[in-house]
Amino acid sequence: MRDSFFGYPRPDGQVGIRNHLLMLSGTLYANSTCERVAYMVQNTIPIVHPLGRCQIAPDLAQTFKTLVGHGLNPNAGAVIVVDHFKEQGCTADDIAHEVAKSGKPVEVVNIRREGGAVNALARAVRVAVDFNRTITLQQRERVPLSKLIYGFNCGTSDVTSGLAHNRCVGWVCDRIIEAGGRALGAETTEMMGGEDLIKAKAKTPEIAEKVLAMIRRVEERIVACGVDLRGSQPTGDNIAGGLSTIEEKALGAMQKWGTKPIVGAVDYADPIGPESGLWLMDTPGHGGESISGIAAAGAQVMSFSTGGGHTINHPLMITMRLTGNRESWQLMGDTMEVDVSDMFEGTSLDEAGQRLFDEVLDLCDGKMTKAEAIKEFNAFAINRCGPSV
Amino acid sequence: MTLRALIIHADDNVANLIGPGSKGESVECTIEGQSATRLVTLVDDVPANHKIAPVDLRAGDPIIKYGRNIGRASCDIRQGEHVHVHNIESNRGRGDLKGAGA
Repeated sequence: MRDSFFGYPRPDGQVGIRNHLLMLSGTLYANSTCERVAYMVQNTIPIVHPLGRCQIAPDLAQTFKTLVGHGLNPNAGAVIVVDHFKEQGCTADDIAHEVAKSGKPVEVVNIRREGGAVNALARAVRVAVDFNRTITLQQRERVPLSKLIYGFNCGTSDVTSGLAHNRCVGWVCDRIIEAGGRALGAETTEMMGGEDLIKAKAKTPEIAEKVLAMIRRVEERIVACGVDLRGSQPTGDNIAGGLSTIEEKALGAMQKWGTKPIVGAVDYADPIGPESGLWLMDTPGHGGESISGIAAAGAQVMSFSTGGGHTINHPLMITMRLTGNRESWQLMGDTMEVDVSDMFEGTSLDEAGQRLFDEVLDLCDGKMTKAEAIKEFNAFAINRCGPSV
Repeated sequence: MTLRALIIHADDNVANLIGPGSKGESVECTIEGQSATRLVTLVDDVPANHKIAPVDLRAGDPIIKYGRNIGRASCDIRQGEHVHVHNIESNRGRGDLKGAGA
C-alpha cells in the first residue's frame, strides 16, 4: 500500500498537489479581471462568484472565510486577490492579509486604485507572470500520506451509489486514515435517517451531538418551509435512479464514511483539526457549495462518487469522479475517471477500492483528471446563510 | 439467465434488482454474504436497479434497507412489486405534514 505522495510543501506545513497561481475574486465585479488573467497566463486558475456585496454580516463572514480558505488551500502556490473598490468586511486587503499568514506570495489588485479595468488587468498580468516564474521553480517532494486531506462527496446518486462506488470511497477513507491522514465528508441533508450510525461512529458523545444538531437544524429549516422535501431531496434524478426517500439516499451516501470513527465536525468552510480520522462539515447537499466548503478547509483532492454521472470539478481542489453505474460510465465516461461497475459482476470491494486508491494517489503525484485536461471549472459556489440586501 | 436482486442486510424488507426486469420474470433475491436465496416473481416492469419487495408488506409498515428505516409503506405492497415513491414515503423533512419530523 502506497503511504506517500509527491507534493509541494508550503511554508505553513500544508502540502499542495498542484502549484497553481490563484486569481481570487473578492466580488462579483472583479470576476472578469480574474478570468482574463487566467486566460492569458499559464498555470493560473480563476475563482469567481456572484457574492461579496450587499450581504448581511453573518452571510458576508461566510463568504469571507470561504474565499480566505481557498487562498490558504495548499494547491495554490501564490494568490492574487482582486476587488473593484471597497467592500466592508470582505476587502481584497482583508482576504490577502489572512492568506499572507500562510507565507505564500500574495498580492492585491484593486481596480479603482489601479485606474480602471484596463490598468488593473495590466498590473494583474505582470504580477501573475512574476509569481508564476517564482513558483514554477519549486519541486515536488515525497511527503507522507498523513499530509493529505481527502475530501469526498456524492451527487446524482442512484441505487448503485450505496452498493458500489460509495463503498469504494469508504474503503479509501479507511486506508488514508490508517496512514495518518484525514478524510473530510459533508452534506448534512444526506445524513437524515443515519442518526444511529452517527452515534455509533462518533468518537465521543459530544461529537455525535454536534452532528445530530447539524441535522436537526437543516430538518427544521425544511419543515419550516411547509413543503415535502421529496423532489428537492431526493432530487428528480435520484428518484429516476431508484432512490425513494431521503433516508434511503442518506444511508447510501454514508457508505462513503468507511469504518473509522468520526473525530470531529466543523461549520461550513472552517478548517478541521490536526487529528487523523473522519471529519464532517456542515454543508448542504448542493454539490458546488458542499465541495467548496471542503476545499476551503484545505482538502487537496476529492472523490466525487456519482450514479448518474457528473461534470462537477472544483477549480482548485482536484476532483475525481467515479461511478458504479455501467450505463452512466458509457454515457459520461469522458467526464469521469474511475469505473467500478464491475462490482455488480463479482469484483470485490478490496479490488475496486484499491483501483480508486491508486487513482487518488496518482492524482496527488500530478496526474491530471479529465476535467483538468479540458479546463472544466464549474463547481466553485459559496453557501449562503442570509439574503441579499 | 435468472435475474438477481440484492438484499443488503438480513433485516431488510426490500431488495435491489441488478439490472432491469419485466413483469412475470423470476428474480433470485440474495442476502449479501449469504448463499440462501428467495425466488420472487416480478408483478411489475421494474427499471434497472430499482427496489422490489421480496415479501408482502402492509400499509404503514416500516421499510428497512441497510438494516435501517428508510420510510414507510403508503399502501399494501405485494411480493414482487416495484417499490418506489408510488408506494413508500419518507418520514423525514415532511413540512407538508403538520408535526412531522424526527
